[in-house]
Parts: sequence; structure tokens; C-alpha cells
Amino acid sequence: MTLRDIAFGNLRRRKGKALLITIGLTTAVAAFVLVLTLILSLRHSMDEQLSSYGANLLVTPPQSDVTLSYGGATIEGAASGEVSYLGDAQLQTIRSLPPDQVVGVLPILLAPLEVEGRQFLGLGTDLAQAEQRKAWWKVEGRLPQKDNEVLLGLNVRNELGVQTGESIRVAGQDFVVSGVLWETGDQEDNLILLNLPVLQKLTGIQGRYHLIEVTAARSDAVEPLLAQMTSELPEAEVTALRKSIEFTNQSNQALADFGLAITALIVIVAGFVVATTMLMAVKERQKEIGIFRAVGYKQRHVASLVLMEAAALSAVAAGLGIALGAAGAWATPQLARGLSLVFVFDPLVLVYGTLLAFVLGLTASLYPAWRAAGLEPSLALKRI
Amino acid sequence: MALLEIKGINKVYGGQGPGGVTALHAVDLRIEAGEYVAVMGPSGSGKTTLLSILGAMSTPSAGSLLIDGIDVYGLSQERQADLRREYLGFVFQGLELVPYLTALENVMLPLAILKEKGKPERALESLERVGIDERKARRVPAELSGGEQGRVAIARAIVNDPPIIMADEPVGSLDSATGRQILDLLRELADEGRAVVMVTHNPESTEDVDRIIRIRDGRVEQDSRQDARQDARQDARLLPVEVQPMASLHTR
Repeated sequence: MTLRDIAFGNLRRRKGKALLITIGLTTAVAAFVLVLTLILSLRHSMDEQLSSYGANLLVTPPQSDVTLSYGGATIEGAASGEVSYLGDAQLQTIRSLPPDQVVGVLPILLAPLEVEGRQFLGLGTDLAQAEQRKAWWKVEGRLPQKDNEVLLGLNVRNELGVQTGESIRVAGQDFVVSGVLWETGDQEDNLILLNLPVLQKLTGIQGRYHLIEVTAARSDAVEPLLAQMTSELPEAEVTALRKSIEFTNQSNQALADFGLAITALIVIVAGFVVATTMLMAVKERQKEIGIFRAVGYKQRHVASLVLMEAAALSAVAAGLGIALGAAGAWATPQLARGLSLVFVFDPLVLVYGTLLAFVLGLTASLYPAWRAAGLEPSLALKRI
Repeated sequence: MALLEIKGINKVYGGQGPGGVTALHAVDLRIEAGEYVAVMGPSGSGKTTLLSILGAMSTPSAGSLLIDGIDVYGLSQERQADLRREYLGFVFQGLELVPYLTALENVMLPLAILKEKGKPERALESLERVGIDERKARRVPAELSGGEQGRVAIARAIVNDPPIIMADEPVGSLDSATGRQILDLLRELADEGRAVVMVTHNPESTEDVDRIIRIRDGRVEQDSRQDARQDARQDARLLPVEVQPMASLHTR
């Protein structure tokens, strides 16, 4: 027989108290695992949706003069007639970036277009892909599909006074307005949007682009991509658009802070439950502990008994808490479908959950163990 | 050298000031190996306090306790625990077996903290000596009779083969026939050469003792030997227990 047998024997005898302590610890671990898993799941889900916030990286030629601007990029030299472009080589370099880090590459060509005696800015790109990447785009009608179709920004449509399906003359050629982009509140409202080959043909500019928009797969991929692209495209300027990333990070942080605050509260309450229940158990066992001391147990032996019991219950609580917390995190997306949350379980949660159970169980039992160790052996002779 | 000796023991509860209650006043005692001593006295006389001091369980306010020449209360708490395990066996009032452990495990209780082999064998041997067989050794206390529980309590007290046995009202909770069995066992332990100190308020329990110490108001009122009986038994001793001093405690 060892001290462990005595500790386990006592737990079997005092099932009620053992159950209460296990419930306290399990609640804390389950809450922690639930919150941690939800935070990780939310972060993953938001990263998954990162592409819907638009481009994260912008590649432009080195700039010197500003006349035309779009999406935070300026197109140099338009006034002086010395326009710089990115070429197919740069586009190819960007397209060869790891596909697990890059989900979208949009080469963009800009050109001034004359419509009915007025100047507008024309934008040529892969409009179908652009619509996918720009979740805020709402098109009345449809995207241009034929070579003679254009999409108008709302301000352009209002200025020209045309409707979907009507014809307009752009740069001396006839086009049909296939659709109108609803108000974005941004520069798109002032654009005439065409598929890239159409604008290339219209302007005679082939294989050259004013800017290339790149959408990263995850927020944590943006900085490495920025570094890689800066190094691989020395003749271009690469800029990270951190607005969406910071929004994602801030939202994540706020959620994480809230969840962890709630968990901390639960952990503190559980710690008190464990400590008070353990203290009560020690008080009930005063005479028994006195006998242990009388037959030669040292203070550390008595403290070990209490801590072994706490460790055993912590182990049970770790298993139960992790299972319950993970089940709760798995059930949350099923119960709240509006959250568009993807359940992600990180194996590290197992480690953290187990650590929490043991740290909490043992820490909360330190004072009861100290009290038990301090009991006098003469208690064995007292009439309790 | 006496096996057990106390000199000028005072014990005051609640501090030395005016609120303090003096439980023992300048008590001196010497108890030899093989002596079976009863400590008697009315409730509140100080006999349990005396037993706790003799048993290295309660530090006196003044005076000293020598066990086998070792100044017990001059030792650290850790070493006092070692000394209790090596020198002392206890039979508590109500026997105080741990209810969730089997008889065998109860007897192994003092051994559980030791890292040595053969602990179950030692415990079974101890149980055998008091007449508990292996089958009953596997039972928890609630499945044993009062007499059997008493035997298990004595087996636990002697499992370390201590030279001193302390018994606190060992038959208080037992019927007279069962109580008699326990007293006979204690007598046997004294006859083997152990010092047995028993606290009791029942005169019938003292029939076989060698010496009766009467305590009243914290003072030794009477210390009488029943010499003829002791002398007869002294001659009949066959297996005196050898006190094996703890080198570590002596060389402290």
C-alpha cells in the first residue's frame, strides 16, 4: 500500500465532495476549451472570409507624378505622357506565389475614356473575379460578357443618363450597358468597367498594367507575402492594405478578450469551489489526519495525500472538461447558423485544457494541503 | 537509562498569561521497558495531555521527554515523526481504524510512507500475531466484530515492532469480554519487553498492569507498583523486545 492507495480510498469514500470538486474543475476546463476553440474557429472563419474584404496587397509601378488614382494607387505620368506600367513578367511572378497564400490576383489597366464629349476613367480587369473578391459590389443587370458591353459606376450612369440595355459610344466605339454598379461610396462609382481584353483592345495597350491587386488567403500571410513580393519585384512598389487585416485582428481581439474575461471569472469561481470543498474535507478528516501524523507521517506526507487527491480529480476533470468544451464548440455553429462559423479544433487545446485542470486543481488545493499538513498529531487523541 | 522519561513537564493551554489553563504541573516519570502502566484519573485531570506528551504528539510548555535517551522535543517536527514511527505504537480510543481501508491496509498504514519491500507480509504477520487470519485481513473494519477491530488496532500499533505502546482508553467502546481480549493482548506486549502506557478511567482495566499512576488536577497524585505480579511476569518473559536505537536521532 502507498500514499496513492490511501488518497484514492478517501476519494471513493467521500464521493459527494469528490463529485463537487470534479464538477467545479470540469466547468472551468469546459468553459476554457469552449472559449478557446470558439476563438480559434472565429479567427479561422474570418481568415477564410478575408478575401471578401478585397485586396490586401497592391502592386504598382514606381510613382513620380499623380493624375489618375484608383484604390489608393496613383497612376504616374499621365499628365506628362510618361506612363509607367507593370508587365506580364511581374504578373507572372505574382501568379507563381504559393496558392495556399494567395487566393486572388487582379491585373488592372486604367485609361481615360471619352463618352459623349466627357472624360471618364475606364478600368479593365477580370470583372467576374473582381466581383468575387469585392463582396460590396452589387450589380444591377449583369457583368459585361461580350466584347461590346460595359459596366457603369453609379455616378457615370447618372451623369450620362443611360439605363441598362441602352447603348453608349465609348472612345469612338459602340457599347451596350450590361449593368450598373450600385453605389459603393468609393471610386468605383466614377468608373466605366470593362473586361481587361476589351480595354486593352480599345487602348492598344497590351501586356501592361497600371496595378495588380493581390488577395491573401489569411491575415497572417499578408506580411510574409509583402516581404516576398518586395524582394521579387524590385522594380515595383508593393503596398499592404492593412485596413481589412486590422479590422479582422481587432474583431478577433475583442472577441478573445471578452471570452477570456468570462473564462477567467469561471476559473476563479471554480477555484473557490475546489478550495472550500477541499478545506471542508480536511476539517472532516482532522482526526484521521491526526492518526496519520501519530503513526509517523510527516507534514509533507499529509500534504501529498491532499494534493494527490486534487491531481486525481484534476485528471478526471481535464478529460471531461475537454470533451464537454469541444462538444460545445462543435455544437455552436450548428445551433447558431447565422454565425457562419467553421469548427476548428487545435490539438494544443488538449494541452492547455489539461494544464488548466492541473494548475487550477493543485493551486486551489495548496492552502487546504498546507492546513492539513499543519494539523497536530495530538488530534488523534481528541474527542472530535 | 529508562526507556521513557519525562522531567518537570508543564503544559499550559491558552498561553502563559492569566487566561491560560494549566493541564500538567511539574510531572516527572520514568517508565522502563517491559512495564505495563495504567494512567488513571477523572475527566479533565490531564491524563490524555500526559499521554500526548509521552507520545511525542504535543510539545510541553516546559520540561523534557526522553525516549531511549533522546530529547524528543528538541528534535525537528520531521524527526519527531520518524521517532513516533520507530519507537511508538498507538491504540486510540474507539480504535480509529480508517473505514475505507481493509484490515490489512490499516495495519500497513505506518508502512505506507516507507520505500521497502515486504510490507504486506509484515502486516499479515502482525495480524496473525493478534489472531486475524488472511481472509479477515481483506475485510474493511465495518465487516469485523468489535474484538477483531481491537486486534487490528493492536496489529497496527506493533507492525513497526516499536518498544513502546500507547493506548488511550483502548476498551472504552468495547463490551467486557472483547475488552478483556484487548487487555490480555496489551499484557502480552508488555511481557515481551515493551513499555505499555494505557490511559483509562476504568479500574477493571488495571487488573493486569504493573503500575498505576493516578493523576488529579494535572499532578501525579499516586504512583503505585503492583510489584508481586510484575516480578512474577518478569521471570516469565521469554521474548524481550530489543530496542534498536535510531542512529540518526541519537547523532542529531
